[in-house]
Amino acid sequence: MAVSRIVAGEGDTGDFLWAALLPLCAWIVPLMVLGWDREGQRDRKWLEDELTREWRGRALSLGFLVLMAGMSGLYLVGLYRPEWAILGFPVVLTGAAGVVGLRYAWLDGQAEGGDE
Amino acid sequence: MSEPEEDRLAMIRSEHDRQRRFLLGVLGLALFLGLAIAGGLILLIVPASEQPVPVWALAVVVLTGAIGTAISGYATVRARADLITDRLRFSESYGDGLQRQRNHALLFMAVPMALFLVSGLPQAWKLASGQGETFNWIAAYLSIFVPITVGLTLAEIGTGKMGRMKRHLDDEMTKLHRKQALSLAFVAMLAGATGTYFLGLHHPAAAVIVIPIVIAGAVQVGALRFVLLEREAERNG
Repeated sequence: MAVSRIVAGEGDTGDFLWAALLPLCAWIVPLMVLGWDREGQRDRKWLEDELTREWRGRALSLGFLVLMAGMSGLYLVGLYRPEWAILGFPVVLTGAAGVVGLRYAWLDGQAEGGDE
Repeated sequence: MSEPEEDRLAMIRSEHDRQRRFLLGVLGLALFLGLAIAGGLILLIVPASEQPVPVWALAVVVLTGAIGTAISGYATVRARADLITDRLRFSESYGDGLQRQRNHALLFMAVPMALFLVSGLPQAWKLASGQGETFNWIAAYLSIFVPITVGLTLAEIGTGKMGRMKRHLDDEMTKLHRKQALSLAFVAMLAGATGTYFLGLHHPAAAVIVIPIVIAGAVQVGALRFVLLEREAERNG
């Protein structure tokens, strides 16, 4: 809603704050997967092993493809209606971040299941 | 001269010799087979009274052609088998060369990528501003086509036709480098997309034409990272 009001030229400061919050939320998951969050930095020596690096690589590779597909879709839509592309940005960003998180959790879960 | 360098030179010389032998074999096969067929056809089709040369002479030509064909055929098959054996024996160095070629090609793709971007973005700007016709659509689509192709190549997607080469290309180290490169490309694209989104809040049409630049930039960052990692691994043996 906030984004649509901004795109329509009717946004206020509150709308801009909401709109800014959306992509920042999308950053949290990849940062955690990359181990760049505070906890990940602090406990790096306990968390970083070969398997974690492998899962991270696989999850982010999938995220890259999803993000590239999403951005391409936004571009094609944007050529027709630029406003629609901007409305789609938060969906693509959070979607790609979500795919990264889910893939990582799935691979980690599978590895744990294999250990039992 | 170091031992690996000598091995490499020996491989090149050996492959060159075998290739020449194979080529000579194929040429001989074509010549002798042609001779045998031509002689045989004259013997069979042209009546004996109208033969330009005595029948026994034609029979000798056919026999020579047949023997030559058999010998050339054997030599060709032998040279071909040797060539394959050589390539298998030196498959590691062959794979290294192949990988290097592909890495260079990946970086070289920056040139068509830039060309399509430069030619396509003005057309995309027209379209996003509510103008434009069929030609503009084609140019705008092409501007995103090359970066996507490079991105997919980096991720090794849609390279099914490379099946024969795949065993030379995808070792454990290359797979790891690929994932590291794609991780960096993902971060670069996420950063670019966030920036584009903020730009789009103020100017939607400008954000739309920035999208191909973001994709191309992120893909190129990934490609560069991949090539550098591969080069470093090669240097460290």
